[in-house]
Amino acid sequence: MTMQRRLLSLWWPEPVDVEALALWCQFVSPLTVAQPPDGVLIDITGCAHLFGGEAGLRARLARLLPGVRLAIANTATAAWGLARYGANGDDGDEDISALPLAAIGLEARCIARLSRVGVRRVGQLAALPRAELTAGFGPAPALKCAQALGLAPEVLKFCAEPVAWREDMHLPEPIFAPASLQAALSRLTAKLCARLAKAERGATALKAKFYRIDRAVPEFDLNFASPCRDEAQIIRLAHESLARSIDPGFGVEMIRLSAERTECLAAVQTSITRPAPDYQAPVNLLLNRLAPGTFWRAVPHDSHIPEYAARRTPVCQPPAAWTRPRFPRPLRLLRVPDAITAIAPVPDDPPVFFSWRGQGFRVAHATGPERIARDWWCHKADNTRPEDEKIRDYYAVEDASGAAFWLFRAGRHGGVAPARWYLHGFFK
Amino acid sequence: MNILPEIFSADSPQMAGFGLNQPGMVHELRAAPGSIANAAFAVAMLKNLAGTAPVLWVSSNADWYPPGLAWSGLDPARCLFAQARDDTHSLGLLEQALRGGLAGVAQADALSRLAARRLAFAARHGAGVGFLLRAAPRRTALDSTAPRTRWFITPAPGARLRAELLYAKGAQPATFMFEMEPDDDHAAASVIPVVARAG
Repeated sequence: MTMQRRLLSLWWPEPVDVEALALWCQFVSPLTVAQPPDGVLIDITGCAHLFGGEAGLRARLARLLPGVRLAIANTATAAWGLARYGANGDDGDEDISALPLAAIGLEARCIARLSRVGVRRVGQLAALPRAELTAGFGPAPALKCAQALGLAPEVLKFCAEPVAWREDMHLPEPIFAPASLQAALSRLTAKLCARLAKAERGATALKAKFYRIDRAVPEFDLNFASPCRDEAQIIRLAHESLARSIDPGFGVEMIRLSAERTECLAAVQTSITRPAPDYQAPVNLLLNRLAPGTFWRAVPHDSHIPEYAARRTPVCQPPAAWTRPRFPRPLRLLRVPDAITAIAPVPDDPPVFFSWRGQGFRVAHATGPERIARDWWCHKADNTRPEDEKIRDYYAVEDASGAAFWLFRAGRHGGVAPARWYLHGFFK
Repeated sequence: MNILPEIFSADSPQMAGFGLNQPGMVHELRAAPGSIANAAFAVAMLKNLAGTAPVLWVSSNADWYPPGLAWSGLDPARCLFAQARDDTHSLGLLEQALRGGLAGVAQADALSRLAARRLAFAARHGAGVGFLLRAAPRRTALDSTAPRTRWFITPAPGARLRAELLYAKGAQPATFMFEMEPDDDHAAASVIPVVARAG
């Protein structure tokens, strides 16, 4: 005697995030299937009594998921069709013979061919001899019909909950001594690292939570520039953060260490050759010592405007390749160009003398101009600034002592107003 | 006075003698306030450094310009940048980097003898290479002999830097002219002749 399965199908009239909902529905039963774009199937065999029977389960789901249509049947195909094409009243009617052919998931072309010979309902299709149906219309109608009636096996892809990279330690007595907390963290780290190593994964973000007896939950985060499951490194960073940011109060009853993000990290052979120098540990240490946003890697950005030619990315991103610029660029660039007073022959010669912050510089050599215009194709026109301001003529100049500066003249020389000069960077 | 332009390569005995291209050393580069000649000198040394160690740039006003580093021959993809709260924080971060074997450049005007000793120890322990950029006069009350060398760098006309060696273990104070080669083909910074010997 085969076991009678009971399957519940949920259908939303508009598309929803079925993957997330399928996971959420695992509170009913561990076996749920996401049916994109708008459905979820739950295998409720032997689970309905926990929710007050099937009627209770229906009522509960209808209350939790407004706008959903649901149906329960013995097969997945029948439940799918009943949820979509069945009567709206939750009367528990499981007869599918009156449903249209689309209710068992047939293609539109197949339905059209069958309706041409007068078969419009599932009941009519089920009454036809299976061999002749297969000969005339291909294997799909007979198979789907048999699956809906429970005569043929169905393949269901149950979704699995993502692995929880989480280790808990429940303590019989609250602890608050730093040494005990450190020991507990070390043991949790060792357990988590062993699991990560088995799965060939590494953590890029860890979170440690300390559940205190007075219901406060202090926590700290650890970030890694690249996937890491090195126990010694994690323990060291964790002890540092523990001392810095965790107040155990009157005691901690539970400690939870979880890897918030993990990435693949294959095991490497270490014993044959001399290992390449590994700079991950100091980079991870700096990453956790520095406040967010104050530790970065520079990547090139496709812009001629000097201020936009480099961008900051987090150090966990891989480095991008740089090419040498075609024209001189200073080592230090002022964030805001500094206005200077300059004496320069018109219309477009470099200055012969300029003063910056009360100090005069006589220019001995200059190269330029390098004309850089605003990239009008990607920045909006700004009417508050005159159009001429959008052009800058850059000169690399060197004074008599050898100090080199990057200057620019804003706008074209109109012959009326004196040109405005700015200092933007230093070479040496 | 006619001096033959005697050009040394980056791995010449003089360079090795000063430890400028060797791991495990810290060098103190001073410059006049507002001058970044010492940073240009550090870039010229770092691009000759063997190995693939990332270079950490720490300062409390982070305006090092990556395309400028690329122009000077140091690949910005090798560089990491950090903004410190103040000079003490900069030195602490540099110490961590050196202990981990990174190369580091830190801008810190204040440097105590203890901090200098700690940096030198961290570099020796972790085989890192450190350059400490300071806006300081040639002689201060807290000069430390912990760094391997101490220089005062001033810009010189052309693609050159005037480097005064203030202190190096086992070497005489002297003044050198360094030529910065912006070309990748001539990546080696060359030491051009001793112009004048002092002391």
